[in-house]
Amino acid sequence: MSTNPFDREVRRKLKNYESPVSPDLLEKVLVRRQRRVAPFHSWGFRALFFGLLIFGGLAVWYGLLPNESREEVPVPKQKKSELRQPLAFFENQQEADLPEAVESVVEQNVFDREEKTVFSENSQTKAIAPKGNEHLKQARREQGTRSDVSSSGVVAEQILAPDAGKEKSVWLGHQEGEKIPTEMAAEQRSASSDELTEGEAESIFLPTALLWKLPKEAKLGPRKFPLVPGPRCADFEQGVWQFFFDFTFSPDFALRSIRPKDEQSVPLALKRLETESAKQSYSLGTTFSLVSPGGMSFRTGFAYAQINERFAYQGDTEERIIISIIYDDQGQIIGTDTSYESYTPYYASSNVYRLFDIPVLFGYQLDLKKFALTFQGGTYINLFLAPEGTFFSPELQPVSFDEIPAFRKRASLSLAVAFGVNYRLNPRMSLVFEPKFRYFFSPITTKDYLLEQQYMVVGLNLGAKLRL
Amino acid sequence: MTDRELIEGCIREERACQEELFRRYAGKLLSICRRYARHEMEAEDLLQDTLIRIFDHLDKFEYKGSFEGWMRRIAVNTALKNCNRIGFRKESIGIDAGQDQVVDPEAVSHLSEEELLHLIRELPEGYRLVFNLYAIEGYSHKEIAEMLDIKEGTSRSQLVKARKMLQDKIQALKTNYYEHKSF
Repeated sequence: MSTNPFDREVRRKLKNYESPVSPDLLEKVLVRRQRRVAPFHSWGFRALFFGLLIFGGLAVWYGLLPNESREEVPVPKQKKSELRQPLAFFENQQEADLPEAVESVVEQNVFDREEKTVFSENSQTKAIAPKGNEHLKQARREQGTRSDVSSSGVVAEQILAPDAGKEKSVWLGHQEGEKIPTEMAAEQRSASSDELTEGEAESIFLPTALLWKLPKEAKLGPRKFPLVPGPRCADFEQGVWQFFFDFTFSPDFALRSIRPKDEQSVPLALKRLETESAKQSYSLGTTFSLVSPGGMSFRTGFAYAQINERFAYQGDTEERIIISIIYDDQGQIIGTDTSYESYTPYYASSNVYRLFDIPVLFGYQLDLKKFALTFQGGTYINLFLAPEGTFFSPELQPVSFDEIPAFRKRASLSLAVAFGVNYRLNPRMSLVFEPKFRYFFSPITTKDYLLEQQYMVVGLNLGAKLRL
Repeated sequence: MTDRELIEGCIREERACQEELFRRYAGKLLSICRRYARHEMEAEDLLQDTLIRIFDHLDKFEYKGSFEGWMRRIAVNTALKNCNRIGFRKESIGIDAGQDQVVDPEAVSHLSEEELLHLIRELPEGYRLVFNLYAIEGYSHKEIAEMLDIKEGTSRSQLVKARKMLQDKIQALKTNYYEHKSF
């Protein structure tokens, strides 16, 4: 605590001084508090928010998870002895369950081409499994227990790579006691110098689980081994409904128009145009998209948008007297110097308009190999939350938004158009770049207010899209 | 109604208790806000923010010290949160400390509270904050340095400058008063 006599006197004077308070200030405080509490601090909103967060987190986790870690075919250890000819590469492997034999390798670049996965019990193509991991599930069904495997043979996987009429394939596993296709292929090679003619199948045998164990640099003889199952090519499924989850953030710019309803309101409109200006706005949201086999899409979800503006004005010019005290060399006052100074006080604050949006968009999605182009249009259902800020009253005095019922509270609609590019990081996850435009059909002001305040918003959605 | 009853009623969101709390303390809190704010509008905004924070955190008051002191600290913290601290770094350090006692403390007592508040509000932001915190709220330079993220030396120099500037203003007001009176 300061012991300086001057400080002490100031403290004594001001410490318990009570300034006169406007009696309606408590009402304003309680209203502000109530608005702030709902909806953001309500339990319902929290539950929804955390629900979305958990859902988003799970979706991201699922999207980032490599395909092979979701489904893995167990390796039957007792089959190791049944596998033939240890492969040099696998001899160095430490894992006990790693099978050690591969029959032969013919084809070198299977993954350069579009691939299909086929399963067979008898080293023959039996059925074409759907894309994704269905074949692995089928493999499990077919394997049953280990004894089943040993009794009925190892389930084989064949990867076919059709290319200009030449069928190339990779066979994985073999049937006990059966002459395996590579042996037949080798016999054919030795029998004929005209090897690998068009339409001839090229085969390699590997236990199914080996697919997940092989490093990329694995080499078989002079050729680079290509059987590592990732990264995969774009995995777009024609003929299947697709479901997407998006999370986007968008820096926005809000274009505002203020129109007076009559001539008497023109000065107010001019004053507001003069004192309010646009600032950087933003929006963020999560949406769910359903895309038909033909590429038609429907998109809906939740979004929060915030339009920010700056309110600044200069007050009336005032005059103040400045009296400078003149000291001599010993610090004694020898006189004063009086001057007058004009100054203009400057006030600035931020105005914030908040919206909770529900987009209802229809559009088209064109899938290319690594990209997808989207075009969407529709409406946003806009729920306006209480705006905060300062503006000029009809009496041309700066007042808080709370003091004049200028902004309506009911929902409205806005037109939305977006053209986007999705860049595929992997079959499940894409990055989203989506310029967008929104036009609000109706003003955000009440019918009784003297001006009509309306918005258009342009922005760029940036985010991630996950295929579910 | 005791402070405890008042607090418990406000926690239960009873309107009568909220009104009573407002009636008892809003004036004092507004005086604090006015000392830190640049103009009346900002002071009123600060008071609103302070009251919202008080109502929100009443359940955290542990009845260990004065309730009024607790609310004053909230008001000061709210004001500090709002102030522009960049001003400190631009102001130079160092002043002739021997010249800080140019006005008789008694001169202060001749001013009204409103006049004194007005003069304090005319101080530059850095001066005003340090003077308020040190001379009126009673914080040490070390505490002020931590609160404002400045050096202790800066706090000291700002205080001396603030005190001198305030004394000059009081002196000027006094001189002006006598000049007018002589007419």
